[in-house]
Amino acid sequence: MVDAALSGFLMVIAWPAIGYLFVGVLIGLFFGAIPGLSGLVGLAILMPFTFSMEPVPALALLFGMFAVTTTSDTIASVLLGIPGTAASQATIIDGYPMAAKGEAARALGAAFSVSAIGGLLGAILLGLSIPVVKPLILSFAQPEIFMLALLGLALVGSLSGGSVLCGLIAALAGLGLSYVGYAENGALPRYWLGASYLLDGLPLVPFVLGLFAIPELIDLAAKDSSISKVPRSSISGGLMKGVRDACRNWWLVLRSTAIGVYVGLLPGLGGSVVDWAAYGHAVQSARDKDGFGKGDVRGVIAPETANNAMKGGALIPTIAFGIPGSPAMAVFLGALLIQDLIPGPEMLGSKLDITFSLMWTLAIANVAGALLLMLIARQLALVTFVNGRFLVTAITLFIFMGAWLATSHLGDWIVLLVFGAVGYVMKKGGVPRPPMVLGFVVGPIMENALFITSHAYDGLSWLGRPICMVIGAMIVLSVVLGARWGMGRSDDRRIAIEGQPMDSVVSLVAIGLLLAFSIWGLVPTFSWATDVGTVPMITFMPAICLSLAAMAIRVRDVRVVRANNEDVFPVRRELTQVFQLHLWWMGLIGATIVAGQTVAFPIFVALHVRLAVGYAWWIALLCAAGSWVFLHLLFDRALAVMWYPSIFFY
Amino acid sequence: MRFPILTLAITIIFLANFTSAVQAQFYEGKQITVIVNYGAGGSTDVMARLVAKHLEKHIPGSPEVVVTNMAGAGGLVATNYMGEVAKADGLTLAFFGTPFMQYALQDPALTVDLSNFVWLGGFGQPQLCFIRKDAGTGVESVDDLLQIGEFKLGGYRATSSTDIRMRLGLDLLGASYKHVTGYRSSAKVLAALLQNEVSYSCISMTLYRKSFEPNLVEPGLATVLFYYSLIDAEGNPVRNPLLEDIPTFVDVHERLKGERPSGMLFDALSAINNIAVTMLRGVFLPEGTPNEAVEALATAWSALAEDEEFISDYRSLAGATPSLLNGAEAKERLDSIGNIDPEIVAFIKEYAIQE
Repeated sequence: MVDAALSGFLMVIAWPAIGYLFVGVLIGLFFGAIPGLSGLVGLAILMPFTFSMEPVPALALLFGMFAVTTTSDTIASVLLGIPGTAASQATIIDGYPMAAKGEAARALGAAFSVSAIGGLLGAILLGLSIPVVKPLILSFAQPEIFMLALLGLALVGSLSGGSVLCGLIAALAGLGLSYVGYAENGALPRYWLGASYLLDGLPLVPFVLGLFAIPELIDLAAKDSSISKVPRSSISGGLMKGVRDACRNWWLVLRSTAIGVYVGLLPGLGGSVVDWAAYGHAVQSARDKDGFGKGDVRGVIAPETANNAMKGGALIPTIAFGIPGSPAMAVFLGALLIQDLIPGPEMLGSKLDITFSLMWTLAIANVAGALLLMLIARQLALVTFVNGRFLVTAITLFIFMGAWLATSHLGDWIVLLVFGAVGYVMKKGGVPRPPMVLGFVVGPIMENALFITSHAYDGLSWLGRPICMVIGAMIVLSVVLGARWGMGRSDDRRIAIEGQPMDSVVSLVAIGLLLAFSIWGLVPTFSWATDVGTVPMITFMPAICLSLAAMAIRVRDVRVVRANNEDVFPVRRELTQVFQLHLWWMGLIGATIVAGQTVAFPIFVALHVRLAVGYAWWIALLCAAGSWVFLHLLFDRALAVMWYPSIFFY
Repeated sequence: MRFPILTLAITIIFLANFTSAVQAQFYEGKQITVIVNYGAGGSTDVMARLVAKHLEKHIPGSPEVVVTNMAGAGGLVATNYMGEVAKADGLTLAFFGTPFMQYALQDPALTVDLSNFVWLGGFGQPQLCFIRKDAGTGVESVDDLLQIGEFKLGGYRATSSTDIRMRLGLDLLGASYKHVTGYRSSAKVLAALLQNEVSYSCISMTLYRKSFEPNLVEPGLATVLFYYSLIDAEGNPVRNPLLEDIPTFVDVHERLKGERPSGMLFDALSAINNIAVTMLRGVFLPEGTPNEAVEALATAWSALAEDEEFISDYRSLAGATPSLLNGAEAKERLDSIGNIDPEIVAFIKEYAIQE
């Protein structure tokens, strides 16, 4: 085994493999940094280029690229409050408030350090677990996956900031949203509004971008300030502070690495869950929880460690059994087959050196990617001091195109804006958004595993499986601890979530919206067959009860606030701005329908920079030209995106 | 006498050059977009990217070929797009997991008629069925199948063509099984088989060779029972030369039941199976695409069947030589499924949702 490890190392550092590895790292950093692009897209695009290459360089290119997308995805999450990939959604919760406090460089320093450490340790753990991995994977069948999904849901308490009640409602609504489209047993579409776009369910990226990015854009436009609320002059040397944070929290880094590797190892959980699991664990295990959600560096460290460590874990079932745990690993499996490498006993036997070369690729790519980003982190952090309205122009381009990549259908933009509105009222109304995303990503895993379990096992016999019992005990513990913590904080529910003062009226609107959604969701379940209707039914019933309770509390709040002569509806003051910004976006969509994105975006950029930001015409036109080049080179040439078939230019 | 032959020869050579010149002009400096009706990373996508890469070099005029994905509604969003939105300018080519089940069962979400497209070709594969040796009271060979008591069948979705074929086959044989479905991907089915959560399933030859055989059959956990071959008009199996040592479903039925399979179950099985075996993936252009484009692409498609490099890449990925249908054959297959007896259609619809 040592021989194989050594010869694997020599294979990777030999020319040209090492060259391809670094090319892969550069491409991967780019794909991770741009919201909407991910390692999956990168793998699909690069794969055909590797058909004619030798195995080791080909895999170094692909896996080097794939390894670092979760290093650079932190950039958008921290600086802009937009998830760079699905694996860094949880990073926003504390990363973005850090940027607002002027600590962007510190957050990036910590994130890049732990990405490198997590990736490196994940690779080592991968190497060490090769001999024992088979029984481990084989003991996690559908009942265990179902229990793990439930355990994930039990993290809601940790993700709810101050309001556990609202967190539960949001999580249940997120579960409800995950039921859109064909039911797990395939025969009946649910909640699809007659739109074939929704038959496969709501796409994750437009949903999450809407929920998180649109409200931030509205804030930037309304406040007309930069992302950092602190002037640049008062900030010094945050990067190294972040590196020290990473070292000081070494125990959390180790635990998050383990979470990442094992979530990656189990097929069917995947990248959009791992960051939540690690974040939830960080909050649960912390003694002082009050800083979380307001810019606690541990809230950045945990998910960023885990999402890089996951890559090593995800590789194991793919090479050991040919069971890819995620779509990205499925592409990678295709790349292995093209190279005549057949996953299974062979990869752990006669081709063990190739397997080790993958481990080394992972290790080298993670360190190299993090070092490269460290070099430019200070410059990146300057984004948080840029004029907010100008950022609105640029981010609009990124998130609209990021959402468009989901299915290249106008539905992507509708989902983006609808959930933008939902996210906005939730944010202003003090209803936490992270539990909604958690519910949404866990929902399909849970329902699918429950459906299969109920057919493959007799009655509830599966509950007696040893691992199910262990996870069950962890769920109970988690709920009890969470409830105790929640109770202790129940009086400060007006202190809000995500560092924002809460608006009582908007809060009523937000909860009312979730209540209405739950009732609408519950009604048809009574006429559905058991396999299709039961899970939505047991989701929406408690959602309705909890929403009613929350409504009652909120109505009382409004009276209290009024009695104190405070403003119950401060959001009123920015409604004009919200309206204006939506007019800009409607204009963008209208122009796209008429003339297509390659014309609409440059026009939008020119007009927005001139009229809304107030820069000179020549700057506006320069920006417009830049946006055209960007669209053309990246989306048209490199990604071959399907543009909207517009009236005139199609 | 020599003169006319010479003239003829010259004319032929001239015409041949002329046609290829016209074709070359058509695609000179252009870009062809290949649309895949599933997301990046699926088996259809991987195959499309392989084919696109090799097809590129055979198209006269050397256009650039790029692959893009348009997922949604089980492949129907892109299918409807090809019929309703895509321009018939020869620059949009579909490489689809053919939505033939939705077509056969007249799914209302499919709003276009597949037979209106200009078909360039297609390919499919036989499907192999296997069982864990510890299923029921234990299986050594296919002869034990009916005596082992109940075993669990692992499927994808209740309405998938694989699930329906698996059930029809076992029902025809009279085996005792429990249908456990919802695994959605072959990876999860393989995991469930390894975990002994289910013990029986069927899989395309590609994945059998590349994934299920090395992990299940070679280590001695499972044994292969039979494969679903193409069935000709008389109900005879068309044997696949790559699977000489494995019996077809019809062979097994004859051996275990003493007669050829027949009746409504078998008619339904043949109807679904024949298109899955030959047209699992289809390549086509929008209705009304100019002839120069169709001819240029058809030339390239047939050149692919002779391309050693392509065949070797395909073999690595799929574990077998590709058997490509040409445009006419593809169209014929498609019409056959469009013209299935309405009684069989109604039967399959009912069968798919019953437990």
